[in-house]
Amino acid sequence: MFAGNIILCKLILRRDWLRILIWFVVMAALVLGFGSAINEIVGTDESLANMTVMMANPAMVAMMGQTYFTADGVMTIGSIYATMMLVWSALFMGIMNIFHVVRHTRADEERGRIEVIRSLPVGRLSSLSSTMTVAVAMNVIFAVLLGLGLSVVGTGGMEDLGGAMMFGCQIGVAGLAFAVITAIFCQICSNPRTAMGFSFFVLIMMYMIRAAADMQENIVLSIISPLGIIQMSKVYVENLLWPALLSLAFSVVGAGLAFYLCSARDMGAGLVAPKPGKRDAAPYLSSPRGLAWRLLKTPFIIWAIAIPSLSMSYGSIMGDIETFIESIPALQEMTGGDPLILVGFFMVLMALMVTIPSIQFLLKARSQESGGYAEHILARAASRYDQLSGYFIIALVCGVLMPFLNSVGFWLACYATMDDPLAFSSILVTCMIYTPAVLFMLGLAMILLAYLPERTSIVWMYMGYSFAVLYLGALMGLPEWLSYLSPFGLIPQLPADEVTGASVLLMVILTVAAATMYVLGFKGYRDRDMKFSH
Amino acid sequence: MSEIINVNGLTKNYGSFTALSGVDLSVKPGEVYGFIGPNGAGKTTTIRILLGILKANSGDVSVFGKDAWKDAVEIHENIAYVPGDVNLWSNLTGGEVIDLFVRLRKGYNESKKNELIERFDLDPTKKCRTYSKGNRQKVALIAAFSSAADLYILDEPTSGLDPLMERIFQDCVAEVKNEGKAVFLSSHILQEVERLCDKVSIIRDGLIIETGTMAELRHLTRTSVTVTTERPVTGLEHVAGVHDIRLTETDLTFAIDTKEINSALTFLTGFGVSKIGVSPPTLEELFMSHYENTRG
Ligand SMILES: Nc1ncnc2c1ncn2[C@@H]1O[C@H](COP(=O)(O)OP(=O)(O)O)[C@@H](O)[C@H]1O
Ligand SMILES: [Mg+2]
Repeated sequence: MFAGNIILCKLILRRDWLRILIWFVVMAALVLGFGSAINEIVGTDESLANMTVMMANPAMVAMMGQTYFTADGVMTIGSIYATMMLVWSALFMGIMNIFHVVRHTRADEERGRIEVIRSLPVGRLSSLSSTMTVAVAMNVIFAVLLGLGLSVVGTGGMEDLGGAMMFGCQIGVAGLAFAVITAIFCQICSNPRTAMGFSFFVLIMMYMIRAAADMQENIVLSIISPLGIIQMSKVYVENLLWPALLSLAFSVVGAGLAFYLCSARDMGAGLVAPKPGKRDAAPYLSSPRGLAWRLLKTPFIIWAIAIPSLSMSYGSIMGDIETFIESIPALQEMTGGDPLILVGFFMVLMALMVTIPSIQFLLKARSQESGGYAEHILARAASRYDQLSGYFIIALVCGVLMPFLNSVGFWLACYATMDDPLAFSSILVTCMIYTPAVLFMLGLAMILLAYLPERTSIVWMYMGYSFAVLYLGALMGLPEWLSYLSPFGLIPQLPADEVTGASVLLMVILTVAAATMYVLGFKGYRDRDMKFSH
Repeated sequence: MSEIINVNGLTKNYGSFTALSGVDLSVKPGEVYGFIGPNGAGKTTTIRILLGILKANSGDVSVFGKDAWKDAVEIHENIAYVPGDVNLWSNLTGGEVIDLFVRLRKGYNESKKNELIERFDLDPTKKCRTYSKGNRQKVALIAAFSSAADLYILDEPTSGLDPLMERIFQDCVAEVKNEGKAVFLSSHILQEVERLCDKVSIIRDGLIIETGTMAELRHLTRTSVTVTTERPVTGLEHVAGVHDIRLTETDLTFAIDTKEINSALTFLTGFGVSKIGVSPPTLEELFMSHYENTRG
């Protein structure tokens, strides 16, 4: 049943060594990067005490996890680090494991690669067993190396080898748990996308279950979630081993189930047959605009949920904003202690963030064109204008609706956490004031789409530039004029900045320029050849 | 409006590369028009210009008497089109795509659609990402033939179909032809065009090198013949229209201009034919003979 396991493991490593290395670099940057920086953030007794208060905030507990204390009833740098990082590092390990397992079982099976391998002298279960062998090896190696690394870069108590290794061990154990969960879904579902979808759904559920468990201090709920149980080891303080052992026991049972299911099913099939898709199209799928909506509906909804979730999580620190700023020297320096500056900074980043889906939705028109999909539409009774307008309208609606949702999310969080919450109207204006810049970026994308369809990536470079000057520029104090080269830098950062006559004029200019670019864009798109990729 | 398609002196450049130079075409109502040429000859480019997806650099291109670029939308109301590479949206089902396609034109026939789904043996409830190339072509063909169009433009529509489905496709073409509709069919398979088309244009490197009815073109083609005779054949090289004589131990192979086939066979019977194999001309052979004819 398992014959050829070693050969297949080698094959996986040969195909994936670079991928695994990149994951390792990402994990190391996350775990070790923050591990070496934390002492600067909470190095003094005062900032440690501030941070202890911050971390006890229910929103922080929900996001990161329960705080825990030494016998003297204080948090150490190590316990603050582990509270902040353990769940999120484990989450990343989970994502890595989900991708790994789906890729080497279901996805390969769909492409027919496993069929070739099965015809060789290898066992029925070897493709699953080799995938899991590599997963175990990967998690163990990551755990050991990250643990060792943490003890090397850590200071202020974090160099403690036992604690550092315990941290590594916990994230490895959590990663393995998700490898097993994914392996089970890969047997049940009949294609890689549903297997991936279910696995990620479980990952998110487990994160939320642990959030609920931490807020209610409910031990049973914590044990249920692979992301919750690992926190019970109280890394750097008590270093308990039993949570990891219990989680491993769950994984062993789960792996047994996955192997049993794998032996019970046919190749290429799942235990659950896919339900047949729609035989007929919904009524709205009868125009180019209807099609555009059909294609963009799912990402649109995901963004519409993600944006307010993000702003809610940022907004939830508003209750303790002063303490938060005080505890991080870099923020203290940037804002001069004024929370409103931080709000403005956050909102300009969110404005850049909502521009991403907006541009993406517009440029969907380009991938439709190059992939030969638009050809079907344009060869029927639909004009270029009909074809482009669907993507344009969705992009435009996105560019206006998302900032609105952003302000709603932020306001809700402020309302819940602040004694004297900011008024909704002022938050709304703070978010919506960037609309001219968003419209301008969209205009640039239109122009590229119409006149340089093979160079649309220029707009992403400009977005990257804008991110760099506004985000890093603020943190590192780059010259201010650099940000004026981005439309987002021309807009006053409310609520701290003031709206002057000049800035109103600039906003009008940006809007007029955007409108002009839309008109030119439609004209250019109408008058040019469709360009296909070969 | 006497002509469905009328193309005069069409030239198209991709940057400095000339894809079409001076193409002329004329398709009449009720005609099945074959457009053949090897890969890269310019068939798809011509069709995309007919559909207003690409713009001609020079020349007149009209469909139903209207300008192919300016009046594209109006023209398309009466056109059904199957592209060469059928790419479909991976997360829509075949049924959804067919519905979308037929709804983007004016008249269509629900019962015809269901009948065609049946005939082409397509499962419309599957997502397009699971379809093979042939199945994607079926989706496009079903959508095209359930529309009541006046002109069907088909760009190498059978390249992914199995022989059984190819037959069904040919029946569909015959049906619309009987209804008096015009069909413009591009292909690189001579036999397919031979079976279906009234008139043919041959394109190569962006130039139309021959236009005529199938019967007219047959004069240009060569048939290859393999014979085994009782006595050794002598003097075959003096028979008009014979080329490329090759002798193996047991049999003799040669090519013959299709119009001379009778005299060659009469000549051969004098040596006692015991076995004969005749294969129809291929596109390559047709080009060979074309170039020899124009040279000689
Ligand atoms: N967008 C393009 N850019 C540059 N060359 C192209 C482009 N599209 C087609 N060509 C070239 O034009 C020629 C004709 O292509 P095409 O019309 O697709 O041929 P066919 O359909 O007969 O196989 C080929 O040599 C092809 O490489
Ligand atoms: Mg082609």
